[in-house]
Amino acid sequence: MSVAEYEPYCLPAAAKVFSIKDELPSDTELMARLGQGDVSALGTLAERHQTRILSVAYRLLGDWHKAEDVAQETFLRLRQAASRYEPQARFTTWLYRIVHNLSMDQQRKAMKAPVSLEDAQAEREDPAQDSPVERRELAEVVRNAVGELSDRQRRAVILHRYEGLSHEEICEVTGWSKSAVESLLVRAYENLRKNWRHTRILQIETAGLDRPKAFNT
Amino acid sequence: MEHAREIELIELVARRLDPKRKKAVLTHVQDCPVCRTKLEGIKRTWTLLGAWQVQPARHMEMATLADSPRSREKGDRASIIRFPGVATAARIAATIAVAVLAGYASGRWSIHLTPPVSGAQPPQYVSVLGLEMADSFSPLVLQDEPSSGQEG
Repeated sequence: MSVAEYEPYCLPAAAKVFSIKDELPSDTELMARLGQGDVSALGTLAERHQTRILSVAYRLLGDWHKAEDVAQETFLRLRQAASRYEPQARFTTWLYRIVHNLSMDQQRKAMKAPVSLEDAQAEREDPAQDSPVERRELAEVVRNAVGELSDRQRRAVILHRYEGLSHEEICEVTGWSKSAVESLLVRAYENLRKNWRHTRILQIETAGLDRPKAFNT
Repeated sequence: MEHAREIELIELVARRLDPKRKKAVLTHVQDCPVCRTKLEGIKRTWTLLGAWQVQPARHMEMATLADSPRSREKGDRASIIRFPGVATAARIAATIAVAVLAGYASGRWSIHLTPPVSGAQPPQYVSVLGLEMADSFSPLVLQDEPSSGQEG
């Protein structure tokens, strides 16, 4: 029952109090407030989207430090763009586009820079230590399989499988055509299927993980 | 019989296929072993991909960092300031402080097993032997010495 339907049975003021919509400003409203100089709006946006941004940046880059840099830079871009922000697509799609582009910039830089020992150490420390070995192995196998895809296929799978974006949204985020996105997804899922056959995944599955549970890295 | 498009099978597994196409694809898959095998493969891949979940370990105050005076400069990048040695140094300092305090406390109580009583009269033999000017340990030494009458 909506607030309007409920109104005859209660005081209008009470209806307003119980309207959750009134208390939660939309992302677009927050961007407008930020554009007018209300910095607290940036805090609300960060709280709402930080985890999502970090996750997608980590999956794209495979490094938490780089993902944090991307997330921080994303919020900086939000702040700078707030005054001229005009909602044309969904806010999250626009946000993903920023994260995607920044991640690609970061990846290009990383390809030029030599890998330091410190980075390699940080990567080894990432997986949670208190998880069962099989589950950790499975997560590692999946992560490697995704990492072995071509760059474009990997990006398409991450946005599609983990971020739940539609084909059209992936087009908006990446700038690829719809046919390119569909083709990349089909080839990516096919390559993953082939990859499973050549890895230890069957052994792990038969060890009692037919229905893999989520595992955090 | 025309097979289902693979992208539609993927969208079916992802539950993002529109209801009309979903019904058509499902009807086809029921009668087509080729498409059914493909669908099973996609389902398995989808499920396995779910095993790789990520959870950001740290929640930084990114909005605060993005609002820092340095980051306001155009073209400047905010950076995360990390002091990896500070926490370790603080832990070492705290351990040393605790050890010093413990040592001080135990040393204090081991020297003065019994707090000295001010104004207590020395035993009578002290004045008899003319030991008033001796240090405070002398009576204890004399008291602990066995009497010569009981020896041998």
